[in-house]
Amino acid sequence: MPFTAGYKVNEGTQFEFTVSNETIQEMVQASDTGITNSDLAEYCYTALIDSRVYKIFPEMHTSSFDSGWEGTVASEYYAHLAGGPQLTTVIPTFNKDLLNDTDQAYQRNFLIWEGTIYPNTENAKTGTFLVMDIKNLHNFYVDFNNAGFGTDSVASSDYSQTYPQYGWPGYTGPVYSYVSNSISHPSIMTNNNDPQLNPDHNIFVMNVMVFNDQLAIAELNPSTHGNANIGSEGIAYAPFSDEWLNRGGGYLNWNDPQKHYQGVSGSWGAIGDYTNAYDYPGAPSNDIGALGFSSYVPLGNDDMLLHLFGQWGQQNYANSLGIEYGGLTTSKSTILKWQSWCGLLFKYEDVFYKPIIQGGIVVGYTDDMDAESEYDDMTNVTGNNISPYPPTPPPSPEDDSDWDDIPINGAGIGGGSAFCRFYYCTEAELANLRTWTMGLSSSGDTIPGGFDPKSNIIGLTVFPFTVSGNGPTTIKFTTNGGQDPVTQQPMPRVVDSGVACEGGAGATTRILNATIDVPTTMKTRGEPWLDYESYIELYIPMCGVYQVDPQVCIGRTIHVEIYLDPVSGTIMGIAWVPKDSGKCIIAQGSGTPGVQIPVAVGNYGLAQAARVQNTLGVFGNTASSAISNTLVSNAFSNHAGERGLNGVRKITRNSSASDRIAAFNRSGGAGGIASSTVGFAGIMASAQHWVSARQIANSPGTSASGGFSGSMAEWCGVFTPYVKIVRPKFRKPSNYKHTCGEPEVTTRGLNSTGYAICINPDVSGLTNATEAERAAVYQFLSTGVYYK
Amino acid sequence: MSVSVQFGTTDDMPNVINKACTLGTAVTCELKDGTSVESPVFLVTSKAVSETDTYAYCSDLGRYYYINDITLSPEGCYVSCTCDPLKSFATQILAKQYNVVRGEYRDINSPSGMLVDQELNRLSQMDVQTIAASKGIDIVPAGNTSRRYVLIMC
Repeated sequence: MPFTAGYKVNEGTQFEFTVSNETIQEMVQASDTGITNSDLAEYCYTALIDSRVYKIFPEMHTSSFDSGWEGTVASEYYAHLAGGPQLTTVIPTFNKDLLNDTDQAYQRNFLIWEGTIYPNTENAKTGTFLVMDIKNLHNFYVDFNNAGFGTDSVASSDYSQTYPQYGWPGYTGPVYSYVSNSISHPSIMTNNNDPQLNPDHNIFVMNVMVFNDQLAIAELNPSTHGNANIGSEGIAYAPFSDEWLNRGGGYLNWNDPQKHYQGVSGSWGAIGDYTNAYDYPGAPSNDIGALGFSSYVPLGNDDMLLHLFGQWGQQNYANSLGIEYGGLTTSKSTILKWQSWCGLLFKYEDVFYKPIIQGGIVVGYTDDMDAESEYDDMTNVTGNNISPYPPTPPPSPEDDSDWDDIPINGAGIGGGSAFCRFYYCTEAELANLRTWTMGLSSSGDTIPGGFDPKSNIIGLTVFPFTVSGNGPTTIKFTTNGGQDPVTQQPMPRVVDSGVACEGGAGATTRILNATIDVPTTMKTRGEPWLDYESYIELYIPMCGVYQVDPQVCIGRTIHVEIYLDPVSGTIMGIAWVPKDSGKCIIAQGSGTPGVQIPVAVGNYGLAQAARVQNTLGVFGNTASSAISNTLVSNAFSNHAGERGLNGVRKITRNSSASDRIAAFNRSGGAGGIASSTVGFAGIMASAQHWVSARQIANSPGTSASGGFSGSMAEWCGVFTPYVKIVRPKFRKPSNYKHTCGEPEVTTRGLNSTGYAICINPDVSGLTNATEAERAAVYQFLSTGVYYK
Repeated sequence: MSVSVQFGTTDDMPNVINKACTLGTAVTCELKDGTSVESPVFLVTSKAVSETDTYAYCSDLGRYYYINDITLSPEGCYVSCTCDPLKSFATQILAKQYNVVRGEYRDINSPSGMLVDQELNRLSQMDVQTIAASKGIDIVPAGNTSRRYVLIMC
């Protein structure tokens, strides 16, 4: 169950309000100019404020009504005026108020978190932290100058790279605060989590900023700096230098200069030549990391923070109805009252609150730690985006041994011998070939008399996918060089059909090279071993399902390769997992996607005899006998009487009575010609069909026999490899670690905080203890003791 | 035999090594005849002990004690105790190394993080996840002009 934190958690929460008909009527009466979109927007503001929804939606700062919920309000309103239903708009709310008396809190992406960051590392830090979901952090301002925000954090001098995302690998300094978001990953300041090397590990701290209480929280005074409506076009971006106070809480100065804090100089400067709000870094519609500071000198950590904050500077704002909202808090103590709607456990007035999570959505909070909540599935995790455990590399499978590089022969293996040729054709090219074999090619007849081209054909296989050859060529046939029974001339040894296609050697070829990343999900829940208790099924297209070893696959990438043998129409699927320079083959199997199409020569001798007889004008019982014993494909008989012939070339469709016989036969009068769908197999089965002498004469003696081999139904399956991972789920009380402990195998003292159970504790050295007291100590240590 | 005893309280569980306790001023008590260091009975003649006291420390015996019972008599209060060996020998206990098999603060990123917790309660429900590969075989629909026929000729 993917668990989302921050505003995503609240995305399912909806705030619904209705603009009644009466209200609209009142608005119409009160307005001299009629209801405008602005009127409706103001109403929405009011409703939001009255409902204690303090979050300021980015859309609310949009001056345009063409989008967002305001546009919805407007459109519904106009629909109502046109006789539609009562105007009702549903606006998503992201921040419910849990503590009703904290009416100064409007930004809910905070919480106080007690724990340890980077535990058991050189940078371990235990304490009380203010956690901020900075991804969703808007309309917020921090005064870096006054707050000394960077104190005890990474100094600018530690950061010499132009772009934060390229900085800090190998940083070993103290970590008293860190900042990260999903874009820059600048906060990863430990040796063991180089964001370049282990980018996935940053998921622990994505979008989360953590301060500890050694850091002064900024003076959040919007009256001196910042502006709430940074998303609005023309709105100033940074300090007002107390001008705001002088305005008496009126309207915003839309012409305030836009400024930007420059970390190097420590001053506020012009932010640049952004022409509208949407270009600002961090504007609601903008990608924070995409724009902004490239034209500035590297600004160091401070700039990075600003960068991450995006827009900033909330202040009291009175709308045209005189309703104030905002009211930003100005002290740390107030911030500490802010509770999170991030789905995280939080503590307020010495009481811990646990989120009640159902279906991944926070539906409430409780101080009853035994209350049912999906939160308990995330033991050791205080939220999706932050963990009390550091973003260090997860445990790897316990396969300490090396893996050899097991070679896979792969493509280019095998193929036909020099006696065989392979042509990779499209359907159109095959049709061209068929036309040619019937002497129907517009380029003229090139087939020697008495030569059956299909006698060259060994097989024809169709696949559900493209088979690539070595390059363009034309299909060529070989004869035995014998005498043409019609022309009495020797036949050429090689007959080029002129039909273009691709040639090939018939060697194996790789038709799929795909990868599947198998994640370690339990690591974020603190029970990584559960990942390895899962079972994993791997599906290889047309080869089947294989159960693979989680030990090999978890946290790694499965490579799935499929090789085709065009000769037999079979494939070989191979799945393997790499580690370092070695690999482990985890599955191997075969399938047969190729379907054999029957194309083969029939009773060529009889056909040839019939042709000769027809040529000589002997048409009667002998010919009929020949006819009756000849196998003819309807595919060819449908045309044989109408176009030129091979071997006996002088007969035309109007030149003899045989045309009429042929026509009769095509209509089914003489025993019936096989229908187009009865095809080869049916003819092969009966081996007795009446055909006309003309058909035989016109046919080059080709026929088809055999049946389809293989199944196209197989083509209807799944052609994308996939894995199915079935993992165990667990549930444990929130105080599980404290009351039960968790498995560990260490030899250590007990003078660290917490609960511990020892095995065979050594109770020697208790010099003054009696035997009974030693036994008691032994018993205590064996069953669990606490050191506070 | 006279010993010095401090009486007080503790709110910690018996299996806490370094219990926090509140002790009063040391008073001199008599040991009841036939008492043991593990389960002594102190005779307190002053008001140094109250019925709310639950814990005691006897420096002469070098032990902390739970107070089991307080019996009032004309001679004074008989305070029946049982030794708390964890607290009494905490210094020695904490000075030693032990093989810890379960702990409150393990590092999941250490090898201990991969140890199977046999006491963990698992749900009968399993978590099922499917992950598709980065790509699949490109299937050619019927009538397509792609080369999907292989013609083998002698």
